[in-house]
Amino acid sequence: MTLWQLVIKESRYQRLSFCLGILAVIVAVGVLVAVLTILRSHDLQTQKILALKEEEMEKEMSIMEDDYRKIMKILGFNLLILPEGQQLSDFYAEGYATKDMPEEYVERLSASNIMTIRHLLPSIEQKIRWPEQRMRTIILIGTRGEVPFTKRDPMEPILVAVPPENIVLGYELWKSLNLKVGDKIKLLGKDFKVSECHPQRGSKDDITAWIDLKQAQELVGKQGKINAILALKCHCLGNEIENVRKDIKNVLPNTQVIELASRVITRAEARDRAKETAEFVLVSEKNYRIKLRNEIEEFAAWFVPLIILGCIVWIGFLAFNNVRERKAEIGILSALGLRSKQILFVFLAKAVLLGIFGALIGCIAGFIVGLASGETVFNFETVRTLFNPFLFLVVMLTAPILAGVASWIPALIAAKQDPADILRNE
Amino acid sequence: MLFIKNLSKVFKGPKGIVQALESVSLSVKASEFVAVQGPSGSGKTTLLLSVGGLLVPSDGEVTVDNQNPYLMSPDNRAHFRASTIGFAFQQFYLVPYLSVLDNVLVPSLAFPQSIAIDRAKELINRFNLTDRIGHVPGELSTGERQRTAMARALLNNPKLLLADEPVGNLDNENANIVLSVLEEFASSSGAVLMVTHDNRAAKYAHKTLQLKNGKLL
Ligand SMILES: Nc1ncnc2c1ncn2[C@@H]1O[C@H](COP(=O)(O)OP(=O)(O)O)[C@@H](O)[C@H]1O
Ligand SMILES: [Mg+2]
Repeated sequence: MTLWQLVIKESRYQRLSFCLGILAVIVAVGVLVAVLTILRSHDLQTQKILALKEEEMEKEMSIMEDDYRKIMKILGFNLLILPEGQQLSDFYAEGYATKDMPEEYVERLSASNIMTIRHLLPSIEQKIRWPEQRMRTIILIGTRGEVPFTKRDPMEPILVAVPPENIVLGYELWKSLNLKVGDKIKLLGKDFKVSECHPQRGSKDDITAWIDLKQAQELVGKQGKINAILALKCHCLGNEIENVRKDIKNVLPNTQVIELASRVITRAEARDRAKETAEFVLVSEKNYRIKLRNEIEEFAAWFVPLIILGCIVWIGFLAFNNVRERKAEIGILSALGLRSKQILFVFLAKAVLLGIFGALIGCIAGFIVGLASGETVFNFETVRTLFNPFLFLVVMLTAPILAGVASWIPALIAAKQDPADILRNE
Repeated sequence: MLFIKNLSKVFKGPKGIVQALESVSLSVKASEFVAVQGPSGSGKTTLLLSVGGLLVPSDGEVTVDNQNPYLMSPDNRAHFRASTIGFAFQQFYLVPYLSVLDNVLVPSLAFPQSIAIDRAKELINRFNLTDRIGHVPGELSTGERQRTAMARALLNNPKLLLADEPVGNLDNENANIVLSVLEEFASSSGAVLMVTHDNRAAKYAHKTLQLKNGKLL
């Protein structure tokens, strides 16, 4: 017989107290492992949720982008055809083309068989002083409405022309001059009847006056000239602006084509807005998960140490009780020649045995409880990812040591007892 | 083997001072079987514990195998007890969760390398306990417990055997088994000091002393 065998035999004999001791270790280890498993499971689930959300967002974004692409396709491009020599820097600085081109260009275009362009709007535009109104600066635009394509069925015009002798006024103009529809005014010596007053647009349109193209050409001394052709709702395969450009250049080599910014901006803005929304959703989900984790962590931060401490006290109490119950045995072992170190060993070995068994069962039980009350689904994959071999190792080492520490003082008391005292008092 | 000179033991308890032993002197040689007889409370157990290195005397000298156990460190004294002295206690003090065999083997725990199992089985056989070898003390009769305790005391081949009332609670048959083994042990050059209030023991002992109120008559 060895001391280990003695310890095992005693543990088997005192089954109940040994099981209570194991239970203490199981509870301590189990709670620790369960809580850590729940936290790990939570993190795993967070990763999963966020990955899923991100994927969903990506999908939604691409759907949205596609939707916008489709909508924009229906709307088409808006193109501006400008004279070839026009410096774009001047165009952007002034807000209109300073160079001009023959009005006949629009006829050439409408007679061509370009299928990519739908609506053609030639115009002449110029910043002028209004002599009859204290020389105030206005923008004068002459239009002739839409020019129909000769080789196609006529379409519903999307813009109507301003009839001769009529004038359409922007908001600032009619408001400050106190004009209304039907009033008569003079512009550069000519008489006009106000046919329409636009509401406020918040752009240069508010200081713009629209009149008939021919009249405008005469007023600014540019007969037969225009400085821009607006091509609306242009379409082409794949929405490639380059193809439209090429088509127009073929018919009108002395021009340049620019795409009006609106479409590009709309698309980009829509995309940004969608992304922002999606990101907000993602961030708030993430924050919610972090908050949830912090709550679990906060709870665990006092709960787990409390349980472990409680279990250490519990083991200490059991060990103390064990020493008290085994007084006679300690006395006899000592009387028969066992050294105090060996007596100490008998009690500490029991604690270590208790720690090993308890830790093993506690690890398994805690892991199962953690899995069951965690958020992840129970399958081989999650079991494999959630199982933490490092934690297992640490617990398997720490639990027997802590159980030993808890039993240390009672064991020391046992080892230091005088055998005669014990035997006489029995 | 054993020399006691002017051994006194005074207990100072809450109920006053008790003079359990008063200037006791005696000696036991190897191969000698000495019995000390006396009524209950006369100081017999106190004498045995003092001789066995378990109870520090108030005064006087104890020499076992030419050594004074009370001059040793507690661990050395424990080792000395294990190797030199065999104990059979009045209340047996068997370990409740160990079988007869394991109980007999307990003294071998003091010598981690010793393989005492053959010796243990031989002793168990000598005390007629072979068919009880796997039983725990709770399942044994008083006689069987006493014999187990005797076997345990003899396991390490001690030079001095101390027996406290080894036949006090036994019937004649059991008493004869125990006493004849003690006699046999003495004849094989062991020293035996037995204390008892029982008259049956006297006819096995080589020498019988009377103890009364802590004093040898
Ligand atoms: N630890 C002790 N404290 C106080 N008195 C004791 C103690 N042990 C024994 N005694 C007393 O010493 C006397 C002798 O006791 P003991 O040696 O047990 O007698 P015996 O074994 O002959 O019956 C008794 O009066 C007993 O009450
Ligand atoms: Mg007694």
